Amino acid sequence: MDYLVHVAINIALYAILGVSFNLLLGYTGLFAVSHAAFFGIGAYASALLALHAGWGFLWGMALGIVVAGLVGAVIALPALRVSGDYLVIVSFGLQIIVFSVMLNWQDVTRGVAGLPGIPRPTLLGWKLTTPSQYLLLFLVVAGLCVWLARRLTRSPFGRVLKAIREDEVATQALGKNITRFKVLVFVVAGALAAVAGNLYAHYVTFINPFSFTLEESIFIMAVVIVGGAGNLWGSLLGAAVLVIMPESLRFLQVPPTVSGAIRQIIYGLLLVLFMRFRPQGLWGEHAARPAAPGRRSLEATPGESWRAAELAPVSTPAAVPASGQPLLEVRGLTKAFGGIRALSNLSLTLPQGTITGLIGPNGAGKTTAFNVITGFLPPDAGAVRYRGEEITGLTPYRVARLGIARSFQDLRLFQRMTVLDNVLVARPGQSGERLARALVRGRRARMEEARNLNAALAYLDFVQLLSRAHEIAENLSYPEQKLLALARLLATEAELLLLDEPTAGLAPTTVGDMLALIRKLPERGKTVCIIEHNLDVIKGLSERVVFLDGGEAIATGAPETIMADPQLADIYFGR
Amino acid sequence: MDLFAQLLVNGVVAGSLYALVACSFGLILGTTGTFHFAHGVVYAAGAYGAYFAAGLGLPLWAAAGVGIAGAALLGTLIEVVVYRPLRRIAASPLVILIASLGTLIVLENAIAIGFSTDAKVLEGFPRKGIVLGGVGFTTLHVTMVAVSLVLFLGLLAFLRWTRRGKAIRAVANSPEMAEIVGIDTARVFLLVFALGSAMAAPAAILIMLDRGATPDMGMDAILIAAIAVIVGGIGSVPGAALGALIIGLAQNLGVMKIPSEWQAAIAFGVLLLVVILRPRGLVGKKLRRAEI
Amino acid sequence: MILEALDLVAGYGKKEVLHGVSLRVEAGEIVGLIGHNGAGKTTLLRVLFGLLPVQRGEVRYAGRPITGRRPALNVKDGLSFVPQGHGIFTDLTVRENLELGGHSLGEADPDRVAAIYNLFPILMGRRDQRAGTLSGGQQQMLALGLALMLRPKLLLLDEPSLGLAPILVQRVLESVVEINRRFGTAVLLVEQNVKQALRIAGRVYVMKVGQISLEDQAASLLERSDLWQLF
Repeated sequence: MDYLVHVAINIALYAILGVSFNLLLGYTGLFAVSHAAFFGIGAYASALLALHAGWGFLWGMALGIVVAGLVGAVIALPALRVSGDYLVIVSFGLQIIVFSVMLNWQDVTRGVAGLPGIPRPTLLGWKLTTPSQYLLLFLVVAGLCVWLARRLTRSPFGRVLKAIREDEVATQALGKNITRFKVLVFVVAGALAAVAGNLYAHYVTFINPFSFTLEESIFIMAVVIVGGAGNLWGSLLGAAVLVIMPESLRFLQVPPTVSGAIRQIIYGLLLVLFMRFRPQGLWGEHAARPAAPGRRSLEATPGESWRAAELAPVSTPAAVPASGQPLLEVRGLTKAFGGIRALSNLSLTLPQGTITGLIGPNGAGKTTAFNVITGFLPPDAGAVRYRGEEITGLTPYRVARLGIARSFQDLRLFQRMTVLDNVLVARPGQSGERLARALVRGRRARMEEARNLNAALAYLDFVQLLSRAHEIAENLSYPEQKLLALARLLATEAELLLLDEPTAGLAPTTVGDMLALIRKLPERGKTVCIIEHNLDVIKGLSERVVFLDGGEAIATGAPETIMADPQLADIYFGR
Repeated sequence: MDLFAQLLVNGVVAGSLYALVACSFGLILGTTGTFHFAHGVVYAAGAYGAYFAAGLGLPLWAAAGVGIAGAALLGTLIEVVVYRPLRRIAASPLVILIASLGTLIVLENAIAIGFSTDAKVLEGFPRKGIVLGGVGFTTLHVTMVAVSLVLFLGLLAFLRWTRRGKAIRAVANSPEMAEIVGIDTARVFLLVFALGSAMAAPAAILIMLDRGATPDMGMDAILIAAIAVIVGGIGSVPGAALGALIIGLAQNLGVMKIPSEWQAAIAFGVLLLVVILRPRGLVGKKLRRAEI
Repeated sequence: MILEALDLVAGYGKKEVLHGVSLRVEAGEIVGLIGHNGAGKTTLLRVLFGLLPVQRGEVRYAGRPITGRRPALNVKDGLSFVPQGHGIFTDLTVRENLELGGHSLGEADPDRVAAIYNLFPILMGRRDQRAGTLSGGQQQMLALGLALMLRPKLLLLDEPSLGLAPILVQRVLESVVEINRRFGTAVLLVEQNVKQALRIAGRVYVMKVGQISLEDQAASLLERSDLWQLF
């Protein structure tokens, strides 16, 4: 009986570790294999407090959370500079450095000898002694952790995490400060792992560094991957599978000298096999999703309307300069890449409420102009003014928050999120994107979420994707994906929309649908600038064309005038 | 001063062995784009293969040959059985990396079961002490530096002057152009895995001759190699060798100020400095972005 | 007829770029392929060469179907491709680049390398220089030379003049004519310097939104003043 309780306690322990690591790996796509370090920091912090200061269990937990949270923020720093394979190695490094500290900082950690005699926890005067009482404690705390993580992942905050995982650039273009989100998720994940460490230390009453090795970090990674990244329930399942499977070795009479190695072989093999045959894990992100919409009604708040026809036209803000003044003004922008001038003294204006076409030969600097205006590239010289305010050199998310939204040639949709979430995440000013608000949700927050849901549905209706709202974005056809990209852009409520080839890749039959939508934008108070190579499209959309060549705007005028100019024809077609 | 010279020599000896693993790991990464963590266990398998062969009564040189051939075989086998099927289903680099970690864990523990976890020493090398200007080392240390220098220069010469070597560089430079001129990329990958594995094994065998080998030697070696490759810059074989030498020297010279048990932390400290100050490494190209 | 495409449909993942394209190239002729950016010209060349799978339709080369055949086999069969912008190995020397151009023949043939130096003497003087350090025009010549190492019957050229100064554009296109004349190589030329392409091509196809919108003699297109209408 005690044996079974022990196994159950282990499952609960790894459930906490798995769920917290899932926040990093599964939700935010941060592949930082250093979770055992957080685990260990939590264990050591509370053990040392209990042994030397006589602090109680809860105080130890609190300190462990704080220290691990701080270390999480420190680990986040290099993690922000690198991604992918680099991050894996860097996180290995941090794991090994923390391990070295535990092993070699003899005065405090007593190195290999470890810390024995950690007192049993006392809660509200109730001292835990029997394994069953421990199990109860573990289950309660694990339940709390899962509840917290679930709360977080289902909030606007969690939506942004997934967006970061899918596409960091697109997330910034929607006005999200991805640095803040990454640091915070490291802090939260580290803190939850520290909770597990605290429980563990008081349960086994003896810790030494060898419980917090790189192998342990890889094991926690295996829990998440086998269970299913991006789904909290998957981590619970993964913890159960990976704890129980090696336990079965006991019944097979495997000699204890090799049982440790066989346990490792099992989870190593599981990693390889899952990558090959089931990379989404046993219980992956979209496993629980209904095939067709229905479970969650589209009618979010009865009585409120979300039909596109009734979507209030975006009220033009009061701070709009007198008409005739341009919404955006670009002066003398210059940008060179290693000797090649992509932009050379580019000047142009975008008058409010118009659709301006940007045309010119390949390499004329059109997309570079978008990148500089939206802050993705710093200019070498020149200035960008929006509503009369200088915005040159602002970070992309700040530019986006001012009301400038851009689309991308390659769409950059959040492929493994639902159509609806793609649009919802774009809504501006969501209070639930703050960590505290994500965890404590009041009536107002729920109202706000409902309003955003209505707006998102209205925009989906506008592009005629309402019936696909609960579909995963990657399952859409390409024309549908282009429409979704437009809906996401509109959901930002930005006033200035920069569209990069919105019809490229569409069949001739569907180009017209897209054009009809874009034509409606000015009457909704939008100002549009569009890069387009198909001259039919330009003629059908814009009354005003800027012709770029060699990174410079060399002509502005009506499409017919531009196309009648023999000099421009020589530039476009060669002499 | 004597201490400094001694530590310098120790650093060069350690760095030259690191360089063998780092160059071969870097060659595989640069050419195939595979973050081949399992290279660590291939390296260890070289030593254990030699140990096994020596146990059968083979002379030392022949046992080393068996170990090297075994490592080459194991490396190509991992490419064919693990990586190739994953590439065929267009798995992301991180998926391949995880599978590689899994392979490392499986094989490392298989060795532990087969040979137990205590250190195994390969006997029979005619080791003699040499003292030169107050610095002491052995003939084995000289052999270590010589072997890695010969293999390093041999690899560079192969890449530079042979038709196959040029094909490897072509694939590393631009896989698409390589396909356009009709190079069989899959065969080049196999060759690179065989070559890289054969190059790493001697380092493990030399360590087994010196202070003995344990099954987990591969994990430490591959971490050092990965750091060296990133420090040196991905895609450059000389860069990897330079990175390895820097780490070997930093770890050993560091002993003057920092107790030796912090060596692992020193290596990663160097890495963190490079990542923060010069993310593209000392010589190489920028790493592509990867996502799971 | 050396090359024929019949109703090709292809794209990248879900994105269908070619919506049924048919064209043909006769032995020894230069055919121009023009159209606005994103019309599908590059995609078409990549499909013809076997770098991108065909979803529907057929490619025939020298009378036989080669749909979906690997590039390595096409190269051996005399079909070569020079991709846009980077048709060389930048980290390797000029000489090594040329040798790699002849990779599928085995050891490099010094006579053929010499023939390339003869065509582009400037490369001779830089044969031991790293290709990435050449000027843009020289890189493009090297790309052509590399593709010529196998004496192809048909050369698929994707915007050889991209990013070059006007004077170099002319030089590169002149060497395309020279190649065509000297080796009898047929050329399918994608080019955004439309007028220059029209001057060296016999026939021309215009692409628009993933389809061929017009086929005509280059000379008669050159006389039209309303080229904008075609884009």
